[in-house]
Amino acid sequence: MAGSPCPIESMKQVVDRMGANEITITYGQTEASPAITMTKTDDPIELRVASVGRNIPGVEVKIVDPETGRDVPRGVQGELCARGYNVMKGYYKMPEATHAAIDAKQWLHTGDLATMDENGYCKITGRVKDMIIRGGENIYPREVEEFLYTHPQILDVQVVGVPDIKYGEEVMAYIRLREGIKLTEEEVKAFCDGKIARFKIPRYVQVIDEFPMTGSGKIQKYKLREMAVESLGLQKAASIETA
Amino acid sequence: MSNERLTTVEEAEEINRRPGVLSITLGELLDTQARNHPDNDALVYVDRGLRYTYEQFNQVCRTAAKGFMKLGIKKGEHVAIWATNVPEWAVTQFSTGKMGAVLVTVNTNYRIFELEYLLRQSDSTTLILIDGWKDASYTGMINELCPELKDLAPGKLNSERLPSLKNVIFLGENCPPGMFSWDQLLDMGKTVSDEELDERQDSLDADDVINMQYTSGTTGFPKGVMLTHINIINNAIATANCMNFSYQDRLCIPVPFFHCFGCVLGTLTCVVSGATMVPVVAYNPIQVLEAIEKERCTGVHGVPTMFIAELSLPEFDKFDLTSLGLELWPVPRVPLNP
Repeated sequence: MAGSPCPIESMKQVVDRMGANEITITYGQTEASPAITMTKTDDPIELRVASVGRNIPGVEVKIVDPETGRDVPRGVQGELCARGYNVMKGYYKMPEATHAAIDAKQWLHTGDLATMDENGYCKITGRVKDMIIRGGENIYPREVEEFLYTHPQILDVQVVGVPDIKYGEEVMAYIRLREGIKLTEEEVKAFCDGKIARFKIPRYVQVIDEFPMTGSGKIQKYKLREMAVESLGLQKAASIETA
Repeated sequence: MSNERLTTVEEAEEINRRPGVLSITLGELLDTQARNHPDNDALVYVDRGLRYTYEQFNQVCRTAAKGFMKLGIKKGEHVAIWATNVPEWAVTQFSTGKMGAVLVTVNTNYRIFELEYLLRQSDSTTLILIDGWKDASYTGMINELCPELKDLAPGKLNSERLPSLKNVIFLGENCPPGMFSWDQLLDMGKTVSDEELDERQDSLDADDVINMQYTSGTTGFPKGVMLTHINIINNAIATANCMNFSYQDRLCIPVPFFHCFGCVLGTLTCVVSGATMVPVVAYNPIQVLEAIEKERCTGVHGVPTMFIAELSLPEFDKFDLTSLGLELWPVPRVPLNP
């Protein structure tokens, strides 16, 4: 689980308190029926709590550079692609979207960022589309989120890119705090200062009670972005068209 | 029935152990499991005391399939279902799988704008729905979209806004005007012969699209993902393998059927194994623990937030969960942080 402390801790509790010693994790998406990788009940526990397992039988998985489409070395982050019997026939009456998702060699491009180790175990690290480009620097929100999780008073965090006239995009963090806790934007920035690269430090920080979710429980980052444009008055920057 | 096409299939308990890609349809799969595990529990609901063996489940799916045929629904036609994890949902999944209609799954959190988009974009000719869920009235919304519905005989809808939609089938008590009740569908099914259904089932190809789910649309408009028999059956087999699942397993399914997690990793993973489905109609941590305890479930599906909710119940330690070994925790695209 990308070393994210919350889920690993929860998983350990599920194993210990629910007696679920055979817990397995699967990673996938509807376009892949859905399972692409999965941990097995006999995988070592460390891998069952900290990875999404290996490709399921009959399904190929590779990690590619999202820009060039070339395979990346093991351990390096890239876009996870899958090919096999499980890949959808396509999107109904949307040929363009289908071609964007499945390439000429039948690889499904998941839009998810992942790494794969020497033994084929994968970790999901973020989403290609979430990537923030701030003045030419690529920022993976996941990385900033992981760092902010280490703050003891921050319960949950979502980092999004918001429009910016000068840099194209700026980093914004929406944070959920533990009950009864107050934390200012300045305190959050001070916490980051010197620990992560300056360009990754959130320019904006806002406290939020709940993240907007889809029906199936996925956090809707695009809604957070819309909220930010509204609350920060970034409509002018948001209206800039790019090539 | 379809024995010729099943010659490559080994004994049903070995379906999920078979190497390579299995080229069978949903209907053939259920027939096979009903022959090999007739008396094993297929579908159990703790809240309403419902219990179908594989033999019974197959029979009710056959009757519903014949009902859809009586309605004139053709192979490849789109049948949408908008309901929580009610028993009819599972029956609809396998009965449409038998008669070849594509099951279009509708998110239970949808509201009128999303419903109209989905029904139009998917060209659904039939909508199956419950009265409503939480604060949403599903029947209210369909009547708002098609105000003429209530004044027409069931099956005669001719709506300007939803030109493809003909039939609305209601699940529950007190069927509103203009809709078929589920019992009416089953009654219609009794007027179609077994041979007609078998002929239809045999005419299906495992490469045909049989399931369509709309991705939640974290960007842009929702897209209808077309999945074939081969796609979902083999994915369920792979999942069953990783979970080391067999016909002796009993899986609690509190995750929504409209999502792949419910209808592929849940129901279908059980059926490819000859195992027992123990669904919870709508997620509630107490009901999950009750279902596990009462039905001695060996596995339970969930996303992190669900497990956290169960673990943080004050009554948690009162439940006997010793049957449990297995949990499935999916990572939907990005890991969820509870």
